[in-house]
Parts: sequence; C-alpha cells; structure tokens
Amino acid sequence: MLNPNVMRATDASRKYLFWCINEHIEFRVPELKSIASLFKIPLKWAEKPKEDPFVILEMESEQDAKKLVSRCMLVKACYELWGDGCSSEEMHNNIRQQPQSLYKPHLASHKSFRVTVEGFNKSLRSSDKLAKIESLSYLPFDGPVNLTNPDTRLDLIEYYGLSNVDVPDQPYRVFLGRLLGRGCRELIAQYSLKQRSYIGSTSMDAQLAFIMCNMAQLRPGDLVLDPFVGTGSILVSAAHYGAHILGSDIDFLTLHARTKPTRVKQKERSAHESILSNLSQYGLQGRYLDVAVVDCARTSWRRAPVLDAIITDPPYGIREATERVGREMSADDQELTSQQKKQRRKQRLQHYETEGVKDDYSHEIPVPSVDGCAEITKIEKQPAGKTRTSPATEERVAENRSRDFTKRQDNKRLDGSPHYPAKVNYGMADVFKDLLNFAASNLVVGGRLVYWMPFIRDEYNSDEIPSHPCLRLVYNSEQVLNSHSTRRLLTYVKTRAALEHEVANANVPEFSMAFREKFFIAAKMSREERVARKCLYPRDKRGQGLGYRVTGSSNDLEDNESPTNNSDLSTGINGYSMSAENSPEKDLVGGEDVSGNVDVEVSHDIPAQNKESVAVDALE
Amino acid sequence: MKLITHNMLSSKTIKGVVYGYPLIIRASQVLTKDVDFNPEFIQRMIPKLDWSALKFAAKCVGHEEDLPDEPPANMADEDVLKRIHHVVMEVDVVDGFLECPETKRQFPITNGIPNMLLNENDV
Repeated sequence: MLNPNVMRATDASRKYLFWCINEHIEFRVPELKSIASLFKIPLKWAEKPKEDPFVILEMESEQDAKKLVSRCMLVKACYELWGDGCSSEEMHNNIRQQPQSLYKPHLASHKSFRVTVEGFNKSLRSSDKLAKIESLSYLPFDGPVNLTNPDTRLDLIEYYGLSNVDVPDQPYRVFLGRLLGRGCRELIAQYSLKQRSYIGSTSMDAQLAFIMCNMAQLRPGDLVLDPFVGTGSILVSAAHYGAHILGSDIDFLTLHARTKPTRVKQKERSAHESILSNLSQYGLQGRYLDVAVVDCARTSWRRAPVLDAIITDPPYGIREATERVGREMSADDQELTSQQKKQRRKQRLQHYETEGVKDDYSHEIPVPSVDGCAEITKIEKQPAGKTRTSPATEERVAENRSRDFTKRQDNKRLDGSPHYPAKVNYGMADVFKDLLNFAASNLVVGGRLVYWMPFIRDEYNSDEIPSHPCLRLVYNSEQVLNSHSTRRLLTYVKTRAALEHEVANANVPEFSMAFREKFFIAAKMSREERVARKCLYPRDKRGQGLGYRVTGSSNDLEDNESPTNNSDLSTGINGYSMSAENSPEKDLVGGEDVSGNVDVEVSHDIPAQNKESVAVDALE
Repeated sequence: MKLITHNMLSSKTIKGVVYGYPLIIRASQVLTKDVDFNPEFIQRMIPKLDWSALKFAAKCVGHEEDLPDEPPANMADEDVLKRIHHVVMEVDVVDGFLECPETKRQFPITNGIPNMLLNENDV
C-alpha cells in the first residue's frame, strides 16, 4: 500500500520533518504556529499532526525551517525530508522518486557526510543499523565520511509507536532526512530550577516557562509583566528572549525573598536571594525593571496600553493561596453601627486573650515538586465544616497570619512596612476576571496574555474559559497534572483598544472554592476509581490518535460537536482546526484563527483518509 | 524602583481618588546603577511614557536636567537616548515613599520595592 501522504518534494516548497518531544503534546502545534507567526514564516501542514512525535511541514526555504526550529522548545530536531514511508521499501521508493536536485548537492565530492540510524521506541542492534545504512547505497555518496563534524548529516528514523509493550518488529513509519538544526532543548538544563538562586513552592518549570514565552511571541525590546510574579521564574525565560520585565505580587515577603525556603536542606533564605538575583545568575540583569507589591484586585498599575505581553501563573489556592486585601463582612455586619462594631471587636479580643488563638489552621504536607526535590508546602486548612462566610473565622485567620508574620520578622524586620493588611480569599472567578480586564486595558493592541487555569479533569467545560470582547483566545492547551486535575495554558491576543464599559466574562461562580474542595476530594479517590478514570483517557499506541483525550462525560462531546459552539477548541491538537470532511476548501483554516469550529472525530483517524494535504497558513 | 516603573504606577485604587497620578517621590536613598543600554527598548518605550510624569519624577529625585523637555522627535539620536536611558533605567529609588498627590497617603519603598497595598479598611 502506498502511503498517500507521501508527496513529491518540489523545489518551490519542500517538506521539513520536525521530530518533536513526546510530551506536552497539546502544546506542540500551538508552539510551532506561534513561532512561525512571530517570525512571519508561512507554514503549510503536509499532513494532519497526530499524537506521534513527527510533524511534517512545507516551507518555502531551508532558512525558514532553521529559524523556526531554533526557537522551539518542543522540537528535538528539524530535517529536510528526503523520503518517508510506512515501510523501508516504501521509503526507498519515495527517495528514488525525488528530484536529484534535492540530494545531489549535499552528497557532492567536497561534502563530508554521516548517516545515523535512530529508532523511536526501540533500540536497534548495530548490525541492523549498518544494514540499514548500506541499503541507502543507491544514493550518490561522493564525499568522504566524517563522523564527528560532517557537512551533511543524514538521519534514518524508524518509528515503532508510542507504547512500550508489544513493540512491533517492523516500524510503523520510516523517514530519511538531512539534519538542519535542533530545537533549544539545552535551555532546559541551562535554566533548570535546581540551579536557580531563588525559588518558591510554585516556581515555573523552565521548559514550560519558555513555552509560555513562545506563546506570547516575545521579541527583544518587549515590555512584559507578570502580575503574580512569585519568585520570577517565568520572567527569567522572558528576559532570555530579550524582553524587559516587570513583576508584581501581593505577597510582600515573597518579593523580598523572606518566605520560608522550599529547598530540602535549606533552613533560611540567604541575603543574595531575590528575583533580581535570578536574572543576574544568567547575565540578564539589564532586562530587569522592577517588582512591586500590588493587589491584583485593585491594581496600582496605571491604566495605559504599554505592555507587550502579560505572562502569568495565578495561584490556584492549592500550594499558594488566592488572596486580595480586604476584610470579609457578612450582610448583617454591614448594617452594624460603628459603636456595635467596636463592641464586637472588644469581645473578640477578650475571647482571644482567654482562649488564645489556636494554631490549627495550617498543617504541613509534602508536595512532590516539578523537578524531583521534595518540598514542604504550607497549606491552609479550612476549619472543618466551615465555609468562608463567618467574619470571625476570617479575622482569626488574618490575625493569626499577621501574628505569624511578626514572629518571623522579629530578627529581620524591614523598615517602612509596619502594617500587614488583612487578606481575604480572592475568588478565582474574580482573579481571572480582573486579569482579563487588566490585559484589555494595559496591553498594546496585538499584545498577548498567557496564563494557566486549573480544572478538575472530568468537569472541564469550555464555557468556563473566561472571555473579553477585546481579547481573542488563540490557544488552549492542556497539561495534565495528576489523575484528577489538569491545567490549561490559555493564550489571548488583544485585537483592539478596550472601551470603558467593556468587562470580562468569567462564567465560573465560586470557582476557587469549588476547585480547591474538589481537588482534595478527588485526591482521596480510591485506586479502583482512579483506574476507571484512566480509561477515559485512552492513548493509541501507534500515535495515530488526534492528540486529544476523550473528555469525561458524553455531554462534553455533544457540546463540542454542536455547530453553534464557535468558541470551543477544547479538543483536537489545539489551534489546529480539524474538519471531518477532507475537502481542501474546508481544511483551509487561517493560521491562528480559532473562531472556526473544531469538529470532533472520535474514531482513530488513519492517514489514508487524509488525501489532500492540509494547508494551514500560519500568518495572521 | 526605577523611574520607568514610577511612570506606570498610580494611587487611583484609593477611595475617592480621581487620577492619583503622578505619584510624588519622597526619596531617602537614591542610587544610580549601571544598566546595559538597549536603544531598541528605549525607542519603543518613549511613546509609551507619560513625559510630564517622567519629568516630574526626575525632578523629585534631582535628575531633571538630564531629560529633554519634550519626548525626542529624532529617535536615532543616540546621545539623547542614552540620557533618557540613564534617567529611566539607572536612577533607582532604594528607600523612601511614594505619595498620593490627592490624599497624601504614603506607600513605602523598601529595598527598591514599592509596596502599593492599601489597608483592609481603605478598600
């Protein structure tokens, strides 16, 4: 059977193979498209991307491919594709049909070469590898062999599927390509949190921080703000890409690096730890502007469209509390006269003096960290059976907290901060609403907002994605956190200046409490329940699935299929619109435009169905 | 706190404040630090800055003479860009207060980090 996807390479538009990383699958296509759009590189998808790590793109020039791969976090290497097929014979036939202009110049007598055989999901014996190299002898190799520094490096890649059980004898697919460049995977080690000078309990993993910056299309000279800056881990990556950075956070102690250390053996924060030190560590201190203690619910940033991007990871209320300045009041509390309030306060104080403030609001549980070092994270425990409506409870928590602060501050008290304002829970719906409103007023037109939003996996509903009339959602990619929870990286672009009356819509009432509670309920699930849930997320071992998992309830699927639901892009390799019909007109989807429908195909799509190459113009 | 940051902060969050901008700088310690000159960034920032607020901030910390009265028309003039770079990027208010021009409420700056939080009673 001849693979219909195999197309003849022409000089005008050659095919390039991108060997991607077998993780963060949903981020793969958005990242490629975002970078292509940043560099204004026109992209055509030679075939529909699937779960397997091989993406084939048509591009106008080799330079474009090299430029594209040089910024990709999720691409291992990029090749000029010389041939591919579902078997070795098919690949060889395909190579033989290529015009000589494709390979002849690179195999000329003055070019040294090297051929490498790589197996994906199978280690090949060196004798087999040698035989496979020999099988390419029909190519006109005229130059000398150079194993260390060849002019032409050819890779023969055999793909044996994604599942490590029942690995087949014969590969599912074989590629031969000339290596053009590698993605910037080395940045992961270079910027690893393990060596970072200042980290906290929720510091962003370097790889994800770089992906976020790619989604935000950062370029040198940009001005970037993280309104939930924490230890500044996202901003380090932003600065690497040449952006100048600003950060703000409600937590005074975090910004001054006076919080409890999260590293295993570290007892105290050392004097040199700060967000600035994180940048100086990589020689990026020139890109640091400032950090400021700002409450996102009442932001002190002046309302002016000056920011090129807002990249952030708001607190989910699990490891870091969601807080804003304020005092919780019940309805009858508001009606009290000031006299009565004073009376009440006096009673409360007396009560504290006699009973003492019981320190039962927090307990320590170990939370595994992203890069393996165990951390102790302080988690605020809700008093059993209590909701956050009682003002007395709230104040006790607040009071308790400020006492805690003064205790910690005794030896290192910072001048000029005599008062720690009480903070109350900042409902997550409000967090996102305020964030979108802030982005709408403070981003430049064309600027991007990139942030994470947590969900319980089974209960994800695309209606809960916050929206704003001036912000267009361009990508929505899922990262599964554990068996029950997930988070989605949302990327918006500001399309026009915001009008005064326009406000964001976050259709998530009581979202924060709901997520927090559900998170801990789900964590207590039995093993059987968990196994049953895993069945909801099957993965095809050949990697021919569509790169998304079947969502929990049948409701979701119906929603997604409904043609009226235009904003939905919950499924599919995201940002990549997939249409059930394969007519070329239908397959043409404007690069980042996601206003079109995302149809859901539940059946495993086999390449044979996809007769026409799917062309997606990556330019906006 | 650099003067570029001052240009983006306001005290409008305080109840009853109409503009809250520009904030008055009451500095007790100002340092000048060397920061790499990036002409592209300065060029892109100039149209985004509120020039009168920047002039005001520079006056508060005694760097007014370094700054032209109007935003420069010629963005290619490296000397002017370097002077602006010096004022907005290298002058650092390490300690002091930011003061709301309308209510006179003060926001402390410690270790160069302004604390813009209001008290729970003010929100």
